[in-house]
Amino acid sequence: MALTKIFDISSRSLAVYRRALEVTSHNIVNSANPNYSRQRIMFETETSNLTAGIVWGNGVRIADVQRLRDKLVDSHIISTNQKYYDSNRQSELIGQIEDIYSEPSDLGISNLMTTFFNSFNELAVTPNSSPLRTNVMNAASNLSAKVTSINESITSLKGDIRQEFLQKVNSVNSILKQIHQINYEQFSNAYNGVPVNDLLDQRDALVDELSTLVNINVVYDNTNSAVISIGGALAVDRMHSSEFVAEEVNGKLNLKVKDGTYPIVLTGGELSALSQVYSKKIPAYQEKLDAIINKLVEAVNSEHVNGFTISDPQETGLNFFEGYVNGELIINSEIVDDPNKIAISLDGTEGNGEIALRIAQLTDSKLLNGNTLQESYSSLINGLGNDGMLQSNSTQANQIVLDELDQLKASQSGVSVDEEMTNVLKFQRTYEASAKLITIADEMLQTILSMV
Amino acid sequence: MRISDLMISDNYLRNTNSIKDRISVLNRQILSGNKIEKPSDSPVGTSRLFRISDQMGQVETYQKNIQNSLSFLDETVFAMESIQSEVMNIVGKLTEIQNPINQGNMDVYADMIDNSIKIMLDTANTKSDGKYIFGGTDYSDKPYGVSSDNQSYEVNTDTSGKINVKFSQSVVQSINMPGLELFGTIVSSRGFFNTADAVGTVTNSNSTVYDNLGNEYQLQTNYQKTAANTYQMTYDIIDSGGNTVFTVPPAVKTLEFNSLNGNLVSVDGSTSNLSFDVEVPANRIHFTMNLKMLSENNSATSVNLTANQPTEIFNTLKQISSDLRNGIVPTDEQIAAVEAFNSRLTAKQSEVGNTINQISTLENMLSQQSFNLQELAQDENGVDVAKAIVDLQNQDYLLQISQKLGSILLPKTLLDYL
Repeated sequence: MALTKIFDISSRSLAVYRRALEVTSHNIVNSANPNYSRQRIMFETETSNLTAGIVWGNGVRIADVQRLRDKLVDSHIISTNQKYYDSNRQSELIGQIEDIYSEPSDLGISNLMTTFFNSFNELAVTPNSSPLRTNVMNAASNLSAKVTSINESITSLKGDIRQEFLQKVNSVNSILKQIHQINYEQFSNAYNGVPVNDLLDQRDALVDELSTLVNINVVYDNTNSAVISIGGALAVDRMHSSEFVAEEVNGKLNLKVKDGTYPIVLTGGELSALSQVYSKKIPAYQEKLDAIINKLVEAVNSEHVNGFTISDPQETGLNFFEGYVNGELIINSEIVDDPNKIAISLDGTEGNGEIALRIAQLTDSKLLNGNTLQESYSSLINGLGNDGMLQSNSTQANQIVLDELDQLKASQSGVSVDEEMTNVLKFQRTYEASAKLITIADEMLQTILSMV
Repeated sequence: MRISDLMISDNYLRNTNSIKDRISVLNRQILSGNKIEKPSDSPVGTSRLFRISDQMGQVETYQKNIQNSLSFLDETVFAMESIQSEVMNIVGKLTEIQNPINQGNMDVYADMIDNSIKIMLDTANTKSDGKYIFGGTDYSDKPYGVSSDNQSYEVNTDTSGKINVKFSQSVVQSINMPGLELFGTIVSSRGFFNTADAVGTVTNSNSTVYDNLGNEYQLQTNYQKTAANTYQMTYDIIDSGGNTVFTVPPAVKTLEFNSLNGNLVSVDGSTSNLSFDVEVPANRIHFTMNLKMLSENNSATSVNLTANQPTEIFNTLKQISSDLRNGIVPTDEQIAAVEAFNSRLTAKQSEVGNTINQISTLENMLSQQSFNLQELAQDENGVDVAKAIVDLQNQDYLLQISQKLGSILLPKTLLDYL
């Protein structure tokens, strides 16, 4: 066997460990990159050869650079992401609605409604007192302003939600395009023998991001292309990617495939949260509030209309509220201009406050499905609070699962600098030893040459 | 388990974050003093808070109502006391006049009585909190005044109205003494009709009423049964010469009784007003006809009319004073009328006193209730500050320890030792 074989083995080893150090350094510099999967060099012995009945080792070579990733954890993360981001976004949005209602506080409808009825109760003591009449007026204006402002804020919140839905649909489309591109590139690169590990990391990050937006199902085909469907509709594979559009039908926000007919059933991710709150939750709260305010208007007016004003000339048949139109609670402008037109006298004398007593009594009347207005409002807020609590609890529960899965993922795919540094030392030593072998082989060659 | 660097830093961040989250919640609670900041903090608690604050608002209103009513009632008592002192004064003078020695100074006594009438009239027109104390609910004019011919005193407004005030969930109490009850005439129709009477049966009842000048009239009422539980009422006022000065029809009143308990339900369709005013301006007749005491049952029909005084006090006094100026000594009937007014005044004073007592008792109950409600609200929403501060301290220690540990562990790798 020729002495030069030592040169061969050593120089190959130098190349292998240089490459190993490259991979290690790639790992180290990406240790803070959460989307990075650590890569591992798979060494193997070079094929030996058999000469003169003896097996001669040929040194080391790199079999593969592996990307360490647990597919099972990945798919769990994808499904938990959908739940977490759905409940988290719903919890945030309901939190905003709670802020709009500003309960429980002195500024909420509950307290303003109590104050409104109480102001009538007080007015009954001295029905001709103008400070008390102004007091009723103020209580009514405060209530009307709060109701109106709640409805305005909810409308503007709905506008924001619609806008966000549109943006998120754009994000989905853009992610799908990128995944499609990577599907294609990783296939052709793998085919040409170009390493694709970093491309796959990129694709995994995109799939994760997509799962925060919408409910997806991911499988990998035999060319390692990600085949993703959204709510059953094919979204992307190696050959093509679909485009999705948002549409609003009958006050409901839907997602559907462009040119498709049926809306996609949204069950997870932020798009589901947005659609759920926009299409179901807000209209349900709105309906209850509208019923309460409409009843309030109707009940107060039905008493007030029988009363006499103390204005000159005296009037009767006046409504207290002009109405509740487009979310605006409007007080009769005549009364706003002249509180003496609050008609609380039953017999026309200015000291009679019977109607005021009757209006104050409405607070205890079971006006709405066997409940008082306060009780109905309380049940509205109770429902809102329960929705909020449910989503927030679900968010916390999913957060725990997600944290656990992230730990598992980090354990499998995360970089440990200690481990990498140990490898650096190991590879460096082997590299040095290989270099030393070349020197020794050279010296041996010199020795033989000097013999000549 | 293999531990990577990202795991250690993520763990550290997550744990410090959750500690900071708890600190921020405790901090907010201590600063605001409220446990429930939004409905989702405690949906049931929020509902309970609504109920408590609703009740608190109502109790506060009732308390305000009581304060305002008490001052009004105090004024009423004061006014009644002033009137009574004048009436007592007059009663004394009337007794003095009975003594023939004093009968030479009748004009002086007439002056004194006129003076007392002025004071009484002035007091009867007292206002408190923008309301005429004895003016009922009609404040369009002073309730009592002198007629244009200066011959008599007359009532300018309807003084029968009652100011009803709500003092608690179930107590609605009238807080004023209607002038009509104190100074005026109320004719009550009392008794019952027999349910077995045939349709068409007519029941009559008579009573004497007086005009402002003390002249006598006969009030005749007729009730005719028109259907089951329904009667039509007509009435005539006839002067001493037998002439009818006022007659109804055409304005018949329809009375309806409850078929089960026999109580009067409505007069001319109105369920709230079971009395009506009868006014004959030409004859200075003014009284209120009260039908509340009528009912229907299965015993024999018997209906009576009763008037609460023979004549109205101001005009009685006016009559006495003008008689005195003409050298006529007050009659026993006149003196009896003044004394009757005096005793009615006392009775009405005790009525007002009762109302004051009743709402003062309510006031005590309400302040106790308000205290209880505040305690309930505290239980529901109040932060136990001592506990919160201890918790905060605890979380602060945890944060410090984890930061300390983080600062030791996080930066270390093999690199540090190479």
